[in-house]
Amino acid sequence: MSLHRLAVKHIKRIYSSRHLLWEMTVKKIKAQYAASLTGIGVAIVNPLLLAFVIIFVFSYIIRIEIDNFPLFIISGIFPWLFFSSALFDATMSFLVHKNILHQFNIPKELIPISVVFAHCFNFIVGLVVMMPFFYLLNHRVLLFIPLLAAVIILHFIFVVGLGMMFSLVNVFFRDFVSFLSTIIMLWLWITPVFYPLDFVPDKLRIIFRLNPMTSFIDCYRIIIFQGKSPSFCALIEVVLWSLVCFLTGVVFFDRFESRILKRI
Amino acid sequence: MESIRLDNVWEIYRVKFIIDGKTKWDNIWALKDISFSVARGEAVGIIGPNGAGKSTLLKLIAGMLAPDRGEITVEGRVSGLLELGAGFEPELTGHDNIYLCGSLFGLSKAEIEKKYDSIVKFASLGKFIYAPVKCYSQGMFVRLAFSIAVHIEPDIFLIDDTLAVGDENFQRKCFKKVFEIREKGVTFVFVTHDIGMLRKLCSRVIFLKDGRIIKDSNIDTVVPLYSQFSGNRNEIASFKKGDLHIVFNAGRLFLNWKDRLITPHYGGYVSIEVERNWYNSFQAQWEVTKSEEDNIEVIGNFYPLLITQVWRLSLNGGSLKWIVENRVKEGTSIQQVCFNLMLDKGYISWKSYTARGEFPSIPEDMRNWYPVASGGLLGKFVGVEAHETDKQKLPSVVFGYDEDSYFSQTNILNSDYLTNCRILQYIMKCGETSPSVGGFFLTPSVTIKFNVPDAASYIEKISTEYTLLSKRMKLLFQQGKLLLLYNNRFITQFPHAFTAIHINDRWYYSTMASWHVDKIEDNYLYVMLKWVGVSFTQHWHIRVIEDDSFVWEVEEEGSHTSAVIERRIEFLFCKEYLRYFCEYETGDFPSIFTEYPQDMLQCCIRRGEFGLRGELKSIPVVSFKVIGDNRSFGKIFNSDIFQRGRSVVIYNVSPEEKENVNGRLTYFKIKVSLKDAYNIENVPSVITNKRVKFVFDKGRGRIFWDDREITKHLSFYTSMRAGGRWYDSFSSASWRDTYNKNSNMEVNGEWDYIPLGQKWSIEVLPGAVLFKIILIVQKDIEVERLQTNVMLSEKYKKWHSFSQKGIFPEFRPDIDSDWEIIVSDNDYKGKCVAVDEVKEGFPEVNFYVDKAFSAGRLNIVNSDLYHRARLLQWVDDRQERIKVGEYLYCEGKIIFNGDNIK
Repeated sequence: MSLHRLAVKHIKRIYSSRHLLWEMTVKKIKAQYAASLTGIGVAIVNPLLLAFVIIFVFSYIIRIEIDNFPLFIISGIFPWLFFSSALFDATMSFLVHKNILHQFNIPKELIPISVVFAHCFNFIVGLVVMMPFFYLLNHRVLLFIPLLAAVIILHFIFVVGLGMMFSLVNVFFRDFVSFLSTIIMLWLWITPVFYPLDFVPDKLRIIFRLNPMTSFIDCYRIIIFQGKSPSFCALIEVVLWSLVCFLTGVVFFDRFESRILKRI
Repeated sequence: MESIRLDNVWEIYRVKFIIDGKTKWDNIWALKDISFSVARGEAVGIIGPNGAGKSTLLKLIAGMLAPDRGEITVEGRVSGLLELGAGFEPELTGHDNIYLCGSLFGLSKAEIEKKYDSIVKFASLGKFIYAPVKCYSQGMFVRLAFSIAVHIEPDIFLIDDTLAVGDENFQRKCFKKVFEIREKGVTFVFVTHDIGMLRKLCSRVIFLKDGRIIKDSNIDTVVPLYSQFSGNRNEIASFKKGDLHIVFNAGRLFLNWKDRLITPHYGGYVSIEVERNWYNSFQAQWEVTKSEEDNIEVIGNFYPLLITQVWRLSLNGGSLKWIVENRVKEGTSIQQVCFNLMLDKGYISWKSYTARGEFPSIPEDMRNWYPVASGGLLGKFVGVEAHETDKQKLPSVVFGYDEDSYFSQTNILNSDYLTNCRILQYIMKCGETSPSVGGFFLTPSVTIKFNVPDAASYIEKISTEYTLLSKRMKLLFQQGKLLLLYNNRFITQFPHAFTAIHINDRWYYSTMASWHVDKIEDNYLYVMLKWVGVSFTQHWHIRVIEDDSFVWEVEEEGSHTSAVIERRIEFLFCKEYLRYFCEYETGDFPSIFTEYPQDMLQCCIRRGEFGLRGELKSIPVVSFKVIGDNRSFGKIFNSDIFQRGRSVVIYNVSPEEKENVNGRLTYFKIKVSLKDAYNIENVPSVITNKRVKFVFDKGRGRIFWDDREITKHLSFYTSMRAGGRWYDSFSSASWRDTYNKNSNMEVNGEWDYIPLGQKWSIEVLPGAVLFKIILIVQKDIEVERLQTNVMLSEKYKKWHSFSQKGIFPEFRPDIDSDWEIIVSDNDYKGKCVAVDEVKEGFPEVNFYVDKAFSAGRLNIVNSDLYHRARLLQWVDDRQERIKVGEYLYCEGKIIFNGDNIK
């Protein structure tokens, strides 16, 4: 089957179970807050807390000559945290929800997708909470919110693609998730989250360029921190990365999904 | 219309094996070539051992797995309970989870909303519907899950053994709902291990094992198969011949006839009692060492006992031979080995060689097994049969043990109410012999024959090895005892006839020995007996020489014979024997049994015939005679309250001086004869004429005047003396009433062991009794004395004869065999002797003899202090030899003169 058909098939599948996907995501989010101390406050308190810590650390302890360094960092860290935690949870998702697989006949991709979706929600809440700060920094930020939304969607698709792959891999190689935590840690350092790309020596810059997350973080930065529209190139890069990852994920999934149930 | 269809479905799993650190991937086929289809609205149960592939099958039907080979077609929406609490988000409430689960099942929010109330109502969780699901009990989980699953309105409903978690109330609700939805045409597939639940919900069952369908049929066919075949492969072996299919499974034997299991529950198994504890074969560890077309060998180990059992099962003809070899570790002793065969309750009647009966129905409160027939009665073989209508399904079964040894016994039992079946048992007791030498092999075995057309005659045929037959008599040797039957009715009762030896302060009974029986000829049975602990052998020679009588000779040989103090042959006869007799005495057995046996004769009978008789026509007269000069003598006892019978014991008591014994010596030689009893009239015959009444009662005639008895004790009787012994009409003859009308009667009497008979004709007139006695001689005999006597009350004080008269003196204190003859008239004809007493309503009695056998005398006799009576007598004491024929014995009259009585 051609790539095109495959993609369409999966998209159709996801679309036809969208109600279920919604239900699963909502319930996941609800469950998260149900058990917590502050309830929905978690989505607010957590990012705020994180912001304060970063501000504190990067204002008083680590000094780097960039204006509003803390906010610089925040604009990178929030997307990064969405990416890493969503991927992490997505990787584990099949194992955690194996009883759903055994009991219900649902499209299996819904599981990692709903996980990513839930994390996306947390990410958005965090952004919303931080928005006032960015607004203070740069009033024009609000004009680019639609663009931000588009980037978020593309980022979401990107993470979904990766998530579908990793979740599958983890079923067959149960230790993958521990590798993943190390990989993500390394990955963090080859992404310009704590420092701008300019700081990186030329020779190593190519690694950063090849890193998909660099493109995403760049876009986020430009919109949120700088209050500008990212360049066409940057956007194309982001779109391409999303597409590639998604399609890879789809192909991968299609090939191996039938074997999941027997392995869990 | 099919709602589920599987065609040649194969499902494979790849499993990683790690052995010694090396990883190996192997393909495991979870389902192999599965094909079946389920119609719409059908309910199917799936049973099988763990790992059979049941859950995989359900997942295939649910659509979560795709078949690796073959095709599966499923029509309609599928829902069910495959995992407990699947899809529930623990932190969320039941309410939220209903929506979540509903969507997971594929319902839209609106649909869930519509059904929400009904789901909540069915789950009946009360306020807990709003509590987080993490705090639910398992029962609540399953209620909610089931409720949601059922309200989905599926076309196919699957359950993977999760209903077991719910309580009875819930299960009832579930069943009700299942029946409801089945009405609507919902197909139902149900995996469980609970047979009871299966019975309630479905009628079709598929038995899955190792990925294959073993049987797909109705519940009554599949369930017995399941219990037979579930287990480890190396513990199961089976073989088949014709309609019989035998399955061994981990210490249990299952027998199938025409694909129907006839041995329910534990089937056939063996229990052993070791060191006073019982161990069952189904608790041991088994391994099949040989499995061929017509025989199987299996080895079982009883832990922690270290006893090994080897079973060898083989089919020969229509018989299954079941040999159980017990190998014991040194020092362990086996007390008993018990073979049990549990049979379908459809068997309703049982037969053994000596008895038969029906199985009673088991009462509801019966908790234990109870015997239907006592082991002592049964013998080696027992057969059971089903009702006529069931004979096709349940063949007749004949079960018997092969070798006689110590205390072998078969039993027939009914089980308790819940198990509801019949049990045949063979128990072999090992007594006190505990082997201290290791490696002791005890090998009892049992033969089971099936579908015997006539179980009773088959048993009879195989039991007649040890039977001697005569005209009406049957003699059986069984387990060290002899059983006597007459007209197929037992006249001996347990423990029948056996020998006993007293030596070394112990009694050794023939029932305790090990024996070897040989039927040398049709009428000659030879038995050789040996006891453990005694080094001599007893030999029995039993020969039937005439109709209905046998000679039993007992010999002994061996080095210990001289140490024997006493020997016996004991017979126990049934209590229908009411009278005993010997040459000089006869009497009745008392009707009450006491704690100890009562010696009836209080003397040792060494000569002549002695024996027992009863009153019923079916009880023959049994008479014993000791043959040969070997110190034996007999005694007759009324046995004690435990045995409740009549015993005849022949003794041989050794003198204190030990004799030197070499070779074989005969210690007993007795002849036992059975004869039809003369029908003895219980009811005395009465004839009356005005004031005179004559009552004939067992050989004596009692005379009444005005209803007052004037005779006493022996009354009117005859006595004969032959061969030095007395034979009286009242004691040693049996009488038959041949004629009784108005004032005439005729009776016939026969003496048992002298060839004489008498016929009495009595006529009663208003003032007299006429008598005529005829003597019937059957064989030439020498008689010494013939008498006719009238014994009268002592109230008669005066007497007179033809020539004299007088008064009776006081009775003499010393009791003599001959009483005091007062007067004796040599000439009898025309004369009489008489007693006078008109006072007190006693008439004068005149005794005349008109004709007699030969000349004789008329005597008036005063009896002894015991009888206290007056005797008028005719005596002929000429010794002569009488030839065969009929002779007039005595003819005369007794005339009463009671004119002066008021």
